[in-house]
Amino acid sequence: MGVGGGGLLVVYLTLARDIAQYDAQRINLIFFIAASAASLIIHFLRRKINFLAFLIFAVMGSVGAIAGSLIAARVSGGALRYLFGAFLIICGLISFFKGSKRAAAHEK
Amino acid sequence: MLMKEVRTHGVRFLGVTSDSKKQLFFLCAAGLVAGLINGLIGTGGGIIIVYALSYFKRKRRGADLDTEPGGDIRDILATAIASILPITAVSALLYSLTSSSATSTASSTIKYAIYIVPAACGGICGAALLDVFNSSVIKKIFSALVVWAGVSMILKEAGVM
Repeated sequence: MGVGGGGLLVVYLTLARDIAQYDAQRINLIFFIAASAASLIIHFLRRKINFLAFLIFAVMGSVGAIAGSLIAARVSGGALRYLFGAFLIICGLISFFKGSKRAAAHEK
Repeated sequence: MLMKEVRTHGVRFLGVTSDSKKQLFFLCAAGLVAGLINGLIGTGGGIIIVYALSYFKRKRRGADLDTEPGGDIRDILATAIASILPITAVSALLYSLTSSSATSTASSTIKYAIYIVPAACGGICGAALLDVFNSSVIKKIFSALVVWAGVSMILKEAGVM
């Protein structure tokens, strides 16, 4: 769906705990490293990871992450929150209607 | 060596071998966008990678991954998690270097570390419940909640809430 525990953690920290958007995103990133590093051990043992795809995504993604992080550090917390909110809405709508399309295909 | 392999054999991707430069360009662009989004809003890069990987898989099979047996979607998720980890590490490092409230955020991180255990328990319960209940209904409910959360964040920032 694009919004797992990490995304919801940001929602909780900003809406319920009134933590600044930038700091909430930073906490979320640190949490994700801890959670995904643990699960990755199992994935490496059980799943087929495509290493060429991994390499391309890791290298290009890191370049994008540098750009994204530097932009995030320069824009206001309000703008970040709007972006985050818009991202949640888009992911939620795609997931909702994708599910409907799939259910309709199953019925056929 | 990698580029040589790409030039000689094409991009071998989840069983698909193709000489198309478009595929390589698409993968690079998807990686770049995933990193940009992950760096910008601190989450969401993984789903871009999952969509990109699923796109190739569907194109090869001409079918919907979720309706097919074999658990290939799990391999895609594993590749996505492996890919997003270094991206997240780079983002977290830059956030730490550029943050003006490094000390307060560090203490907040420690403070909220207690949520890791309940979050893990919630994840296990959720995974178990997915097998018990109709997953499409749960997905719809969760999708609606995600939309609601997004609207709430925007309204709160706008001062409406």
